[in-house]
Amino acid sequence: MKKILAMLLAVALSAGMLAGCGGTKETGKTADGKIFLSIGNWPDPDSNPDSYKTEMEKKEAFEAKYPDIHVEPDYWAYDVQTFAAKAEGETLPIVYNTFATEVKKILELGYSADVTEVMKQYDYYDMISDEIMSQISRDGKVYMIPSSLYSLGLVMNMNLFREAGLVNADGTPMFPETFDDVRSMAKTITEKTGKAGFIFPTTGNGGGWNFTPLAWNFGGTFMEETDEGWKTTFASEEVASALKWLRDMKWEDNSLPATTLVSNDDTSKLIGTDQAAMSFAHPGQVDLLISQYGMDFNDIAYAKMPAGPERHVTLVGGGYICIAPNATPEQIDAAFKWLEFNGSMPKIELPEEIKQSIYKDFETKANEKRGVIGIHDISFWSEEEATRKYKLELTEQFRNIDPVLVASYNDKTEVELQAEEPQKAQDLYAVLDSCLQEVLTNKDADCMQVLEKAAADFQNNHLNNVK
Amino acid sequence: MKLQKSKKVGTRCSWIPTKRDFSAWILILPAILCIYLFVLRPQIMGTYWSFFDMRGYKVESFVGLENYKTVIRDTQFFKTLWNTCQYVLWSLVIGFCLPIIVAVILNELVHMRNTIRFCVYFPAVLPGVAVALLWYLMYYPDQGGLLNMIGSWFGMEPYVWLQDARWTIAFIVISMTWNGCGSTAIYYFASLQGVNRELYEAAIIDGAGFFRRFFTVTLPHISGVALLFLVRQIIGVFSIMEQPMQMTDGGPNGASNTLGLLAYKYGFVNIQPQYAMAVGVIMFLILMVFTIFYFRLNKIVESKY
Amino acid sequence: MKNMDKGILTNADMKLTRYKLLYVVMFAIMLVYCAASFLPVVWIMLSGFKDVKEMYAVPATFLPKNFDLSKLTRVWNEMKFYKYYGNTFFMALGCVAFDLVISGLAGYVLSSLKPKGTRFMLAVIFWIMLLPGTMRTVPLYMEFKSMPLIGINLLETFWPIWLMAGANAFNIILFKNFFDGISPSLIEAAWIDGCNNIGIFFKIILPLSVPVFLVVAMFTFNGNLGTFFWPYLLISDREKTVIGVQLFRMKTSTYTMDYQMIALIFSVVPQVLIFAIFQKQIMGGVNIGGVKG
Repeated sequence: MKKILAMLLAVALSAGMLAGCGGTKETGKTADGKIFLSIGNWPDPDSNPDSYKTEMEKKEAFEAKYPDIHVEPDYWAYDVQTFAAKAEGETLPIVYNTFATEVKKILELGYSADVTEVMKQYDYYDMISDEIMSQISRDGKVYMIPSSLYSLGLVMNMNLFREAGLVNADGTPMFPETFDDVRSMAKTITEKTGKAGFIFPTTGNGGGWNFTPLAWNFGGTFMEETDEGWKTTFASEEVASALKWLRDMKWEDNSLPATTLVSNDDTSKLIGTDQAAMSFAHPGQVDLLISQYGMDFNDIAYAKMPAGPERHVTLVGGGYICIAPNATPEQIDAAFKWLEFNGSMPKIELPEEIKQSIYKDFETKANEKRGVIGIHDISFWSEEEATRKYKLELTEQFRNIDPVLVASYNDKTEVELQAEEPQKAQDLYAVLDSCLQEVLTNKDADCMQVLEKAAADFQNNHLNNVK
Repeated sequence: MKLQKSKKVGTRCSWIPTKRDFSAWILILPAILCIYLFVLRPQIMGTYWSFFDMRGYKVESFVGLENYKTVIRDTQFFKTLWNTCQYVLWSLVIGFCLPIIVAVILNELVHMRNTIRFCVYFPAVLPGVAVALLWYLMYYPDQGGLLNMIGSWFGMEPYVWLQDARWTIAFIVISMTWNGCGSTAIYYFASLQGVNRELYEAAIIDGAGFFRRFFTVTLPHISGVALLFLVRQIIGVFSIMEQPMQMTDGGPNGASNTLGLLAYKYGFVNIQPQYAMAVGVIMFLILMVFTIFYFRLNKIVESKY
Repeated sequence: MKNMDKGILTNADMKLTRYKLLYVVMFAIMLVYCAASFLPVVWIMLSGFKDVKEMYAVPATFLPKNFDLSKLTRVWNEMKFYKYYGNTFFMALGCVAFDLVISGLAGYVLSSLKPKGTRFMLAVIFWIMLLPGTMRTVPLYMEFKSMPLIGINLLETFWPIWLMAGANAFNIILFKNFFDGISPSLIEAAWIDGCNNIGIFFKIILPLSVPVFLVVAMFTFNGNLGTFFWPYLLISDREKTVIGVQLFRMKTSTYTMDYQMIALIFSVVPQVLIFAIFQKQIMGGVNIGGVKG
C-alpha cells in the first residue's frame, strides 16, 4: 500500500509542477510591489541594436521618473496568426499595437481594455474626431488609442524603371498618374527587362485588401445597408472592369509575375529583389524594402494612388494601441504615462523630455536605416497639436530619401480618402482573394461570372449573418 | 469509477478487482488520464459544444442545430467536402500501389540492397513541414523552381504547378507520397520476407511465370496488410490539414481546401469555434463509417492469418 | 550471381534472358526512384547558397555560380538557429520521456497484468488510434486554455505537447505487442517471490526490452523534431519557437527564398544524422510493432 501511495504522490507532484506556472498576472504587480507594465513591439537586440539601446535608455529614464512602475520589454509584435492564441491565453503584453483591419475583431471579442475614463482624465477624449471615435468605441466606451494613419500608395522599384528607360531626362522618376499609365508602364518594363511590371497579392486577405481601393477607383462599391439589412453590390460592371484591368495585365500583357499565389509580404519580397517593379504599398512596406531587403534609398520611389476612370480615391488604414483586457486600472494608468513619455500621444505643449524621446527615435531610425524618413503621414488629431509639428520638423531634419522620389506620395491633396468596407471586411477580403486567384490562374475565367458567384457567396455566408 | 468502491480487497467475488488489479490500474492511470483528457473528452465536449453559440472561446447559449445549418449552408462546404474526397481518391491512385511495387522490387533485388533500402526510406525521415516547404519550392511557378528548371532543359515553358486549380490536389498528394512511401514500402517489405517459399516452388512446378507467381502467391500474402493500410490511408488522408495549409493555404480559389483546414480557419483565424466543432463532428460521423469498416476488416484479416 | 532466396525470382529464373531483362528493368526503376528521393534535397542544398537574384535568373542553373558558404553562418547567427534547435530538442525529449513512461507502463499493464477491464481498454485504444486529431483541435485548445478540474492555463508552454505524447495509442499497442512475447511464467514466478507490479516491471520487463524502448524513444524523438501544428497554435513566444514552426513562419513572412532554403537544410540535419547512424534500428524497428498494430 505504501508503494501505491508513493505513486499517487508522484502523480500529484507532476500535477503540482503544472500549477507552478501561475504568476503576477492577477495583481498586476511585480514581486517587489511595482506596477508591472509589459510593452509589446520592443525592438530586437540582435537585428536592431541601436533601437534596442534607445528603447532601453527610454525605459531607464521612465523608471527613474516613475519609480513605482517596472517596464518589461515584450518582443511580440501584432500578428494575425498568433493574436487570438495570445489573447485567449492572457499572454498579451499590457500595451500592444494593432492595425485598422483588426479593430472590429478585437472589439467584438473584447480583447482590449476599456480606456474611456483614462482618456478623459488625460484630456485626449475630445481630440479624437467623431469618425475615428465611431470605429474604436462600442456602446459609448473607448477601447483603443489611435496612433498613426496612412494611405495606400504605389511603390516603384527604380532599378527596373531605369532599366526600362522610364525616367525623365533629369533622372527623376516618371510617376504613373492613372491606371492606364500603370498598365502601359508595366508592359514596357516587362518587355524591356523580362521582369514583372506589376504585382498584386492574392492570398492571406492581402489581395482583397488591395483590391477594394482599386475597384473604388473604377467606380465600384462593395456593400450597402438597405431596409432588409446589408446587401452586396460588387457584382457590378465597375468592379468587373477593375478585375478585368488586372486580368488583362496578366493574360494580355503578361506583365504580372508567373507566380500568382503571393501574399502582401511576398510582393515586398519580389520588389525588394528586383523581380517586380510596382505594387500597392503602405509606408510600412516601403520601410521593409530598406530594412529587410537592403534596397538603396535611391532605388525606391513612392507614388500616390493613381487615378481611376471614375474616381481618385485611396484606402486609409491606421495603427492603434490597445491595452490588454486583463490589465488592472493601475496598469492602464501606467500605460498612458508610458505612451505620453514615449511621444505617442498628441500634446498641445511638448515638454522637453518627450521631445528628447521623439528625437532619439528619429535619430536611431536614421542611423539604423530602418526605413524611409521623408514620407508624410496624415494626422487625425486636431491640427494645432505640437507633437505632430515636431515630428514633421524632425522628418525634414533626418530626411534620408531624395524628396523627388516621394514627391508624388507626399502631394496627394486631390486624392479622396476612404476607410475600409464597414461590414465583415476580413471575410470580404478572403472572398476577393479567391476571385483574384481564379481570374489570375484561369485564363478563360469570366470576370463578371466570378464576381457574381463571389457576391452570392459573400451575401449568403457572411452578410446574412450580420446582426 | 468502479475502483473507488472496492476497498474490500481479497473478496472472492470475481467482479471485484483484486489488490493486484488495483495496483495495475494505478500503473495505467496516467495513460487513461491522458487518453481521457486529450482524446475522449475533447471529442465528447466538442460534440456537445457544437450545439452552442460562442463568443471567442466562451460558451454562451444553446442554439440547437444552428451551427450545423450555418456550416452546411456556406457555399464552400460541399466544395470542400468534395475536395477532401478528391485528396482521398488521388492518394489511392498515387499513394496506394506505389509502396507495394517498391517493396516487391526491393525484395527481388540482390545488388546494392542496403544502399537502395536506405535511399527508399530516406524521405520518410524528413518532417512533414520541411517536405511541404521543399515541394512548395520545387513547384515554384517560375524558373526558380526545380521542376520548371528541369523542364526548361528540355525546352518546356514554365508551368504553374500548384496554381493550376485542376491539379493542385494531385500535386499535393504527390509530395505527401514522396514523404510517406518509403516507410510504408518497408512495412510491405517486412511482410514479403515472410512468404512461404514452398508456395513459390509449387507455383514454379505448375509452370507459373513471374507475374502469375506475383498474383497467385505474393499478392494474396500481403493483401491483408494492404487492406488495413488502405482503410488507414483513407482515414488519414480524409482528415488532412497541414499540407494544404503549408503549401497553398487552400488556394487557388479554394481548390485545395479541406474539411480539416476549414475547421482550423473557423476555429483559429475567424475565431468562430462553434462552427469548427460542427465541422469536426461532421468529419467524425463520416470517419465512423470507415472505422467500423476497419474493425470488420481487421477481424477477417486476423482470422485469416 | 548472388543468391536469390527471398524474392519471386529464383536462381534458376535468372538463366533466362527475359528474366535477366526484367531484373535489369526493376533495378533501373529503383535507381530512378532513389534519385527522385535524393534530388530535391541535393537541389535545396545547392540552391540555398545561390545569390537570391541568381535564383530567378533565366536560364536557371542547377549548380550555383557563387557558392556562398558564409550564408550558413549568417543564417545561423542572424536567425539564432541554435535557439530553435535547443527548443526543439527540449520539446522532443520531453515527449520521449512522457511517451516511454506512460505508454510503456500502459503496455505492460495491458500485456502482462491484464486487470479486469483490459479488453475494454484495448478496444478503446484501437478505436482512438484510428481517430485523427484534426477534428478535435478546438475543444483541445479550449482545454489547454484552462485544464479541466485544475483550471490551469497551459498555453505558451510545452506541457500540452508532452502530455499529448503520453496519449499515444500506437505506442501503447507497440509496447503491448512486444511484452506479449515475454513468458508469463517469468512474471508469475516473480509475483510469487513477493515482487510487486512495479518491481516486476523494473526487474523483469525492462531488462528484457531495452531495444524496444530505445527504438520507440528514437522514433518518438525523431517524429517530434518536426512537430508543427500544436507548437504553432500554442506557442507564440519567440523564445520558445521550434524549428517546424519557424520554417512555416519564414515561408509566410518576409524571408527570401535562399534564407528559406538554408533554414530548410538546418531543419532536416538532425533527422538525417539520426537516420544515418541508426538506420538499422530504424528500418528494423518498423517490424517490431508488427503491421497488425
